[in-house]
Amino acid sequence: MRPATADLEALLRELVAANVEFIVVGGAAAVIHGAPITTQNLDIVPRQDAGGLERLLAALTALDTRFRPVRLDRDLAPTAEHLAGGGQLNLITRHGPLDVLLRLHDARGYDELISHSLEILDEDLRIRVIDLETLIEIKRSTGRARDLQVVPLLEAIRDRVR
Amino acid sequence: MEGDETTQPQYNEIDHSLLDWYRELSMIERLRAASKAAAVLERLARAARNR
Repeated sequence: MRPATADLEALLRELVAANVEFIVVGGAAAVIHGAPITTQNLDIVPRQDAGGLERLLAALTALDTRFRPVRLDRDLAPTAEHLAGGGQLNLITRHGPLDVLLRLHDARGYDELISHSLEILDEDLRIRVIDLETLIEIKRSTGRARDLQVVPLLEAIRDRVR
Repeated sequence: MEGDETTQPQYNEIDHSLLDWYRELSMIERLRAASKAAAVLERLARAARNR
């Protein structure tokens, strides 16, 4: 059974436990920065070096991952070839939807985003998340209504942090 | 997005007290709150579709 919405904490814990290197982006990043919104899925940009992709594939396999939507005639698990590409993989796991963004809409990947991210530790969970300024820039530049809606919230959070 | 009727809230329409309240939560608490809220909304939406 794969839920329709993500258990963000459970997904993050599984990825971290599997030593996957990634940057949280998207709605979950907005939540982490303090935006009171909901999101159905976890968006990550993974590191694409050889060892990293192996660990990511192992984690996805352990999470019983498939491409979504899963149908009777379409029950496809991600492979090493998928992860080595440059696309955006819309997946579903036993902890809900997970989008693996090998490249953002502007073609930036892990290596380009790492200097625009920060590590956050809470209790025993240490994750890397895109920084607030870059998240605002990304949300603004996609041009999608659902992304633009979050921008004023993120700007208000930024102004309160300053 | 073409055909999307959602509108962008203006900065001065934001409930800043809600932001302050949310900022008091830890990262893990925010993740849990967002996940639970999404699950509830999804269940309600599914129930509405099946009515």
